[in-house]
Formats: sequence, structure tokens, C-alpha cells
Amino acid sequence: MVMGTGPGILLVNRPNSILGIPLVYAWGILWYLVQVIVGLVAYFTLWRNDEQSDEQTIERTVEEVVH
Amino acid sequence: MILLAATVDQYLIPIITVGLYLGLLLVFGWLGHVYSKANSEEDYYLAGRGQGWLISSMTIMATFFSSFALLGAPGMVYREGVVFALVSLNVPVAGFCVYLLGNRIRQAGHRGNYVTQADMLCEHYNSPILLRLLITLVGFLFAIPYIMMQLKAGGDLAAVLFSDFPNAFEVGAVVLSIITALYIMIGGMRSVAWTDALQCLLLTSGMVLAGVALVSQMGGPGQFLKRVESLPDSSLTVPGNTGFWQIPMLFSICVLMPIGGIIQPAQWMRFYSARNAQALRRSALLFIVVLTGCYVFAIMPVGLGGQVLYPLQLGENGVAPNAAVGTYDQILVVLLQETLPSLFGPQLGLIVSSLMVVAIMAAAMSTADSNLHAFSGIVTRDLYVKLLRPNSSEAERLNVGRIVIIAATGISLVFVLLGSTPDSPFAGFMEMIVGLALFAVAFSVQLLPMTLDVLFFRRGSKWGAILGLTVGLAIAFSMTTLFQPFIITLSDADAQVLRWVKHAKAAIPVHASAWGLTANSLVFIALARWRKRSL
Repeated sequence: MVMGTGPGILLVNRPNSILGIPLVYAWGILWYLVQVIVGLVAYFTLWRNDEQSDEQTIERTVEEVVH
Repeated sequence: MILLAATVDQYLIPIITVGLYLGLLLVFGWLGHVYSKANSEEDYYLAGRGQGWLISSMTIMATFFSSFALLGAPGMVYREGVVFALVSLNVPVAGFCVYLLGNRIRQAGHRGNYVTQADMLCEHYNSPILLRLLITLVGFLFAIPYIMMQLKAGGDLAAVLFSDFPNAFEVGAVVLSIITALYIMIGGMRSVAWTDALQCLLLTSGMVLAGVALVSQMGGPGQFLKRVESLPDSSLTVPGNTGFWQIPMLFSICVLMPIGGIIQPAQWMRFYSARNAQALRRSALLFIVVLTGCYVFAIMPVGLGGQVLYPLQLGENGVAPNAAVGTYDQILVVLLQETLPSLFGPQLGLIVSSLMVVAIMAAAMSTADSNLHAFSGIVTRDLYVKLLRPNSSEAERLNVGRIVIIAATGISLVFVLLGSTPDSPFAGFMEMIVGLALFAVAFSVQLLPMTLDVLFFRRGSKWGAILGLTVGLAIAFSMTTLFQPFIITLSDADAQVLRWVKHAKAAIPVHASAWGLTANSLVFIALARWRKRSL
């Protein structure tokens, strides 16, 4: 966020274009892609592990209550 | 005769399409009523806490995606230029919050059988009255401007489509409010979620169609980009044409607006109603990939194409929309009226543009219904039941909830109709849909210190929560555009306060939400540490 929407913008804040796309617009697209990659990694790894440990905790709690 | 036939077609096709859509919504309301458990409050507000991932995803997205997406955002791109591509980067932040905060809220809600956010926060801080009243105030300050925003969108839409008719704006706003209030009152959360799912499909397809149609009309992506390159430098750089999007403002909005949009009352209740963590995990991913993609690749071309086809009036007096456009927020509708008939032919073009109108209405209604429904839950549960009539029956509570829906719709509608007159002191406040959205989130984001504390840290204190929220709301309000017309009506002595506010805004150009949140967090942390020391 610091690079995409914060001071990082100063690196590209010119009325130029890259491959025909205005530079600031292209900067937005680049950081959108970075966010998508971070989201995919979190979805397939971090959050999945979270859910598994969450379910194990619930199962343990249920077992404790039953016993 | 030919002219008459053309005029009949011009109005008949949009009226039939919109009529069919509104009828379908009422059918969903009735189906929600049929499938609900009779007079169950939990079922009415949370659909029995059993919503699967698809409906959860769509209702969370549709609630976030309001008229902001289909009218406000193109209007902002049209006014400011490419800087909005960076503003769009706030949407993935909301996506991450859907899982990181939403899943914890869901777990706590299932454990504690909570229905509103005040149920959870007030129980944690053991403040059944004062904090509850403050959180209800936050709900009011968020919900009413957000509902107003949607009704304004209905009015704007009607004003362009039926420009030959007098009072088209007023009629559009009234019709949108009546239908929305009706289907929520009939079917509760279940019908809101089902209609949201349909509306989410319509509005995402609408966004994509609008972007594709405009780029095709301008001769394909190559030609489109070539013509965009010729826009004024201020349209191609930060802070945009009006200079509003200074980097501190941009950064504070991109970080805080999505958080405020996710911890607002309606989304909070959607987290409670999600069946499991997987529902929110998938919602988060769709949010990050699909929603942001729609902004970056569909809404951006619409606004930029608008600037090319209808150049802004840039002068010493500032920026103004092209005379052919009316207001900034109407740019999408004006473009569609122009491009679709020439792209698809007169008849098919009219049908496609009518479907686009339905998509815009869907965007507005999906957010209005969620906020009305959540606000009725807040007033009924947090004020009526907890403070006034704890022994009331579930049927009585549901009826009170329905009365609140009518009252909130009425209040919002009156504000919209009064604010839309050019000589109103609130005309500036009501000028743009994005402005109303930013005003609303300045208040909902003040719940962040408490939310983080309850979900993760658990070190806060009751008085830290109460005083922090009070200070945060007051300071955030003083930094909004509504403060000036509000304070001028009080007394002349307040001119000094206005000067301080003006200096502060000029010295640190961040959004009102950041001002409020900083003060709120400082008070919250200071009182938490003080309590720890005194124990």
C-alpha cells in the first residue's frame, strides 16, 4: 500500500505512458496484480492452515465437553 | 407517427425491463418470507446463521458494491482522471479484511449468539447502555448517508433517462426507496441476500459491459489509449484535476475506507450469518480478484473515455463537467445512451441500455437494502429490546424493525430531496456519490480500535472504548464537509473553530476518518494503559 497508494507514487507521477498506458494507471495495474498474488498465496496456504487449526480446536473443545 | 412510435419505444422498453426486475425483487421478498421460520428474530436478521459461500460472497460484495461502483466511481474518474486507478487499490484491502476480521467476528457471533455489533462489543466492555447508544449512533451516521447515496443514484438515473419529464429525479428516488423497503420488510435477511446475489451478478456484468462497449465504440484498446494520452496532464497524474487526491489523502482513504466499509453494521451481520470460515475465505478471494478487476479494467475506461468524449471544463474557477453531461455522477448513463444504440443498433441497443439501467439500480438497491435491514436490526435490538421493552415478543420486535425500515427510508428520502435543490446549504455535501460514501465511512471506521481489541488484544477498557469513540466521532465529524454548514447554523462564535479546522486540514491533508481514528486510538490506548497501571 505504501508503494501503490503512498509515497511510492512519486516514482511514477509523470504524464508519460508505458506501452500506451498512462504511467500512473500502469502503476495501479501493477500493484493490483501484486495484491492478487498475495491474496492467492494467502487463500491457498495461510488461511487454509488457519481453518484446519480452527477446526481441530473446535473438535478438541467438543471432545472435552463430551468427556 | 414514426416519431411517436420511436418515443413510445424509447420509454416503453426501459419501463418494461425495470418493471420486470422490480417485480422479480418482490417475488424474492415473498420467497424469503415463505422459507423463513415464522416470527424468528435470528432468522429475520441473520438467515439462521447458515449462509453458504456463494450467497455470502455475493451479498458481501453487493453490499460493498453500491451506486458508488456504477455511478460514483465513473463520475470520480471522469472528474479526476487516472489517479482513481490507485484509489481502486483500496478494494483488495477490504477483501483481506473480509477474512482476517470477518472470520473472527463470525466465530465470536456463533459462540455468543450475537445479532448486532453492539451485542458483541457491549458484552466485552460490560457497558450495556452508554456504549450501546454510541454504537447505535455510529450505525445511524453510517447507514443514513449510505442509503441517501443509493436513493440519489435512483434519482440521477431517472433524471437522465426521463429527462423530458418534470420531477424525474424525485420520482426515481421515491420509486427506488419504496420497492427496496417493501422487499426487506417482507422477507428479511434471506430475501436481502437472495436479491443481493442477483444484483451482484447484474452489476458486475454491467460494469464489464460498460467498459467493453465504450472501448469498442472508441475503436478498440489501441485507439482508446491513444486518445487517453491526449488528456490534460492533470488528468494523467496525481493529485488529479481538482487536486483533491494529494498523496496523504489518497493513502489515508485507501487504507481506512475499506476497513470502514467492512466493519460497518450491515457487513458485520453478514459475517455472523456466514455458515463457516470457508464461506468467508472464498468471499475474500472473489473480492480481491473480481471486484478490484472490475474497477481497474472496466470502470477506469468508462471515466477516461468520458473525459475524451465529453471534455471537462478546466479553468481558473476550477473543474466543471461538460454541459452535455449534467453532473459528474451521470457520465456512465450519458455514455451508455450514446454508445449502446450505435454499437448494437437502435432496438437491441435500447434493450441492452435498459439492462444497464437495471444493473445500476441493482448496485444502488443492494446496498440500500443491506443498510436498511442492518439499521432496523440495530434500532430494534440495541434500543427497543435492550433499553425500552426487554420482555417484548419476537413478533412485536419484527414489527418494530419494519417500522424502523419505513422511518429510515423516509428520513433518507427527505434529506435527498431537500439536498438536491441547488440553493440547499447541503448541495455541496450532496454533489457527488463518492463524497457521501467517504462521509459515512469516517464514522464506521471509528469502531476499529474496539474491534481489534475485542478480536485480538483484549487489553482495552470500558472507558477507553466509550471516550475514544466519542472523541473519534466528534473529530471525524468536524473534519467532514458537513461540519461547515452545520456549525454556521449554530452561532458566529464558531468561526474560530472553523478556522482551526481549515488550518489543520491544510497542514495535514488526510481524510476525516484518519483524524478521528488517530484521536480515538490515542484515547483508547492511554486509558487502557492507565487502567493497567491502576490495577
